[in-house]
Amino acid sequence: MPPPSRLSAATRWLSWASLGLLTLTGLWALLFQLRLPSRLPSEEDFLQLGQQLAQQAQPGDVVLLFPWWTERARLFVPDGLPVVGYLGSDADPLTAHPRIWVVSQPELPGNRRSEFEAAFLPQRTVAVPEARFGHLRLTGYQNGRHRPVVFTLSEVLSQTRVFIEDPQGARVPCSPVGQGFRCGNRLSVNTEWHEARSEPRRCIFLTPPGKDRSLVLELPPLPDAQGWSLEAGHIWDRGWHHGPQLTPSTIRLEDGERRTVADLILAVGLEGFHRTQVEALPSGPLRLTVQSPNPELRELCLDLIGHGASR
Amino acid sequence: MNHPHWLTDRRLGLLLFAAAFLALALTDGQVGFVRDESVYFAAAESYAGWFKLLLQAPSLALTDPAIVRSFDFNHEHPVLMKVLYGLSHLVFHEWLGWFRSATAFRLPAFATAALIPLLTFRMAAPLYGRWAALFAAVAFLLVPRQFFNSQLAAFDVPVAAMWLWVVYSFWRAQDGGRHWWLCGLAFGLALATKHNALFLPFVVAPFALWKAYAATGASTDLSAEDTLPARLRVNGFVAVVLGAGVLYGLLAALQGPRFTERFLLLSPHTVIYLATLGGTAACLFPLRRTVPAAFFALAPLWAIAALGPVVFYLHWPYLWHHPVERTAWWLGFHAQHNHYTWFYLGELLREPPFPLAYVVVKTALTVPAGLFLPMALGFLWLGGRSLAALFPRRTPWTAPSMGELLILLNALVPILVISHPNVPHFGGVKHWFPAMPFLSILAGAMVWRAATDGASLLGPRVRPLALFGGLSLLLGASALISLVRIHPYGTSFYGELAGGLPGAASLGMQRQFWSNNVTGVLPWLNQHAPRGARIYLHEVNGYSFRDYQRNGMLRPDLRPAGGPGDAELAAYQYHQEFREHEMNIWQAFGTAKPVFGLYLDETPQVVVYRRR
Repeated sequence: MPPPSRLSAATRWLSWASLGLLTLTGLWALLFQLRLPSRLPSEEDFLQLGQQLAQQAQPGDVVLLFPWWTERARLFVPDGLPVVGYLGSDADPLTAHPRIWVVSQPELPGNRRSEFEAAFLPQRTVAVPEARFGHLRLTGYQNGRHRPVVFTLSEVLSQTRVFIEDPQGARVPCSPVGQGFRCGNRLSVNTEWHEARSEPRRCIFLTPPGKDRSLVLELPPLPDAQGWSLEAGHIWDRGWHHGPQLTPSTIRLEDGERRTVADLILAVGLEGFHRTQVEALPSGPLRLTVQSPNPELRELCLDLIGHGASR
Repeated sequence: MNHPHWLTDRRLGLLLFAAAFLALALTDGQVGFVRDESVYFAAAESYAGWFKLLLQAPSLALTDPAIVRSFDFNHEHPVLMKVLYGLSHLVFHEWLGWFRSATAFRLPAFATAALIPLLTFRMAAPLYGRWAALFAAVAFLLVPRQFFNSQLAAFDVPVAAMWLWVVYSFWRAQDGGRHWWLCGLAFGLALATKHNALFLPFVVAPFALWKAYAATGASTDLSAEDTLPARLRVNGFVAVVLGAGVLYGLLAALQGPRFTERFLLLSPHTVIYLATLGGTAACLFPLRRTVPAAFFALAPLWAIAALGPVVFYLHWPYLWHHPVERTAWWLGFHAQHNHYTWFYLGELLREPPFPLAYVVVKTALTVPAGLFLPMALGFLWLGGRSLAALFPRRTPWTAPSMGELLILLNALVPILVISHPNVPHFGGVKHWFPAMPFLSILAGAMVWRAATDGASLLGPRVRPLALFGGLSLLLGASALISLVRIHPYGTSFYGELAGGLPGAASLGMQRQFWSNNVTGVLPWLNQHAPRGARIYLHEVNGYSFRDYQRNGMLRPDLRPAGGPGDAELAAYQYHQEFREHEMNIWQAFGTAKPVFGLYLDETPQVVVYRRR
């Protein structure tokens, strides 16, 4: 070991720096590991949270998780109260819900609270002040992005008429099976849970029939609404796939004269749910057509939602 | 420093081996079966069956149909470890009944993993001293993901051990003795463990040539004991190898895709190989008398070329009747391996090109900070010294020795190989495990250096060893705590730099890899599943399901379901790329509300649903 006088200035500086850095890192890491268990909620915390929600939640409310992945809360949230937590859910407008219960764990390390607040807080106001259950927080918010839902096609799928149509207008009807339909041996149309770019949705699952044929859903009479949203996305990893053989999926809302009222084109490689808005729909019969020349990897999920006036 | 005289480096190394083996063997009971491991269990049993046939009917066992019957399964990997797993299972479970099935399979894995502390210590001690070497030896197994993988009957830790053995033998060979041919043997065994070993010759060859040229100098003088100048022999050695490369290249160009099928026992290919061995031997062996340093530099390379293919061929009966064709298939398989989807910083990586920084970032986030920082500082320090050595007049630091440069390069190469944007990036950290023992050595060296320099700066009352001990305990304590807390779910571990598991979940990192965490919900399923129930263990393959039952971890009356459609209970493994599978469970079961789950530091790992 060289005596201090023999260490050059640079070496001395490096020696101090490395010793200091190692010591501080060791202390920090040790503190982190010792403190971490005390920053986690207990089962009792979750049980109390569940009881609070059971007392205060109203029909139409929703629970939003922060951080988005803290899904253990789903074990304790009362039945019937939907829980939303997925990669990107911080920015979900949660349009259908007038009130949002945010279950948060702000003491978890690396929780990115400021990012959450930037995405979530605009147009939201505190309706029920924060309650604490150990390391859990529960805050009720009025959802300023709420728009009452007056119609959801996926909930009335059985009232539609479904068939496959070729460009000449020839039709092959699809048979009702349960609440959905079966078209031949391969295609089915059902209201199901699916995921697109991490977002879970209950929507109408179907596959385009391919070539120049379309899958057609003739809609039941629609209620009056202040605005309509046509929403669709290729499910799971289908949106990501981008082989040269793949083709876009086109979803078109048509009136009785086959004129396009609204359309969505899901390009190859486009992930997630996408939507197009229409203020008013024409009177008379309407239908949704779905078409993609190559049905390979084109499984998709769609919905048509009618909104009432915002409060 | 004073040590008890009986505690030689050799004995200390053996103590480390024994301690590591015991630590692994005594804690494997709760470690689940990753998807691949149960496949390897099945392969191991199949291979062990062939050995039984070999004892009973040798002439039948040696036919290709009999070999294929046993060895065709999982022939995408060589069989050294699987044969050891199978024989261990045969002896310690089936014949002696000493261990449960899984532990019996895993015993050779524990032993191979325990070689890492031993070899790490033996390599580090002469370079950096015993205490630094001890830190390095212990550090490897203190990393939770490395400890976890050390308990699996798989190949990733074994190939890291073999890699280390090859480099250690190569380094020791420079001092003479038998290590030069042990290096070749170790390379053959490394190749018989996993294909990572194919990179090893490229790592050691530059050092061999450097040493050989340095030893022979520029002199062209004749030795009294040789008819040719030593330098000429080294040049001849290199020329023969390069010539062989050119000839093989020409053959490949001329024969195109038929190159492999024309590689027969009597073919130009074989002639080139044998001529290369003969030519290099003719250049090499006279050097043993005239310039031993040059001989011992090049001899490991020759042994690698001579013994490596022989050991590889002999260890794998599947190759015995069709060596070239089946070796070519094996190489081709790994050259075009699938890309599994992988969650990284909030994005699902599905295909190349992958982020260049992936390996470094993933290592930083998954190695406890108390170990990662000395690794990084040690690497930078040695790298800096190596660069400074290029300007010897301007640096106050001593130039690194060959052993140090070997460590530096081997800490780097496995990471560089996997960092290539087109190399498959799934599997967490296991694919660059061969770098980790060398990074551990650099960590030990760094801590020792910081302690000794620190003691020098702090004054005579501070003893270097006391400072080193305190620093080591401080740095190792957080790793040990995290190792104990995460066990047996090692692939879920994230260190302090990630913010632990919660921080990593917020960063958008992969939760687990792959399916072993289901052990966290098996007790609940055993308690709550109706008798004879069909249960869907998502991502748990049929082999693993069987293994959980035969190891007493899952009730024997429960039946596997192929999907949620025909299941009463489902355990979903949380992978970001498989969220659709969870939706399928919601759909089939009519509920999105789980009934139980494994949540590690709040991060969902396995979520259990019951059909409504």
